[in-house]
Amino acid sequence: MNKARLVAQGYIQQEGIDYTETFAPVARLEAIRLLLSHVINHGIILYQMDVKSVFLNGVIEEEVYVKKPPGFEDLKHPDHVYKLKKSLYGLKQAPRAWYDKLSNFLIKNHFKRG
Amino acid sequence: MYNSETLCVEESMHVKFGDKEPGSETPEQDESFADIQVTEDTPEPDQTNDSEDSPKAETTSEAQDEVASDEAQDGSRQANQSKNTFNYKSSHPEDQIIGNKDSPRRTRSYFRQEESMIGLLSVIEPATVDEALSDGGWILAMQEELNQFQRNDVWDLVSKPHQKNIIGTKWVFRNKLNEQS
Repeated sequence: MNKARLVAQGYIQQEGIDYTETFAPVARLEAIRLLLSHVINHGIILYQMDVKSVFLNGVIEEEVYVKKPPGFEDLKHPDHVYKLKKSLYGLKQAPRAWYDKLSNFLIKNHFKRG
Repeated sequence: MYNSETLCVEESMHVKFGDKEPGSETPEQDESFADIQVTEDTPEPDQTNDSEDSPKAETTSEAQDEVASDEAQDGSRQANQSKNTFNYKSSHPEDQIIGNKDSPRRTRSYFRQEESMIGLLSVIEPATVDEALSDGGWILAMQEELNQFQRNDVWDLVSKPHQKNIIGTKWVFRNKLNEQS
C-alpha cells in the first residue's frame, strides 16, 4: 500500500516567531506495562484506538505559512501560499497541538489528569 | 565454538588454553577437556573435570566437542613441552579461518539490521516528487493525502504575506507493509 505524506520543513522555524510551546508528553513503555497490569487486575476492558493523520487534528495557534505542495502548484495563483489552521507533520508545535486537542477533549468528558 | 550471542557455531582464533599449573598434575590425566575458554569471562573449569562435566561441553555439539578436545590435547601437549613459559596458543591454522580474522566483534544488532533489510527488498519508494508524479499509484496517494487536508480543514490559500517566514513542504513516500506502521 502506497502512502504519501506532506510534511513541513520545520527546521527553518524560529522559536518565538513561528512557535512557542513544543512540550508534549508521550507514553513510555513502562507506563503502558503498568496500565496493562492494572487493567488485568481489575478486569477492565481496554480498547486501543488509532487516529488517522493525527497531527492534522491539532489546532495551530501561531501564524504559520507554508509553500504549496511540490507537484501541485496552482498555475492561477503562482505566488499564493497556505496559511495553516491545523498543524502539519514536521512542524515544531505539531505534537503539542495534538496533545492540547486530546487533553481538552478528555477533560471536557470528565477525565481527570493524574 | 558456540557463540551464545549469535546462536551460531563459528570458528575463532580467540581460543585460550588455560593450563594454569602444569606442575600440579600430570597432563596425561586431563587429556579429556582442558579448559577451553572464549576470551570472555567463562569461569575456568576444574582441570580434573572430564568433558561431560565441563560447562563449555554442554553447549557445544558433539562434532565440535571432538575438535575442541583435540585442540585441547594439542594445547596441553605444547604446554607440557615448554612448562610455564606461555599459557596462550592459537593452534588453529590460519588458512582455515572463515572470513576476516581482524574484523571486529559482531553482536546481535548486526544481524537484526540484516533481517530488516529483507523487508526493504520488495519496497520501491520514489526518491523525488518527479518520480512519484510519473506513477499513477503515487499520484493517487498524494491526492488522498490532500483530500485528508481538506477534510480536516487544514489550511487556506492566501496571497503571499510580507515579511513572513514561509516554510517549505516536502512529500515523503512510504510503502506500508500493514495498516499500523
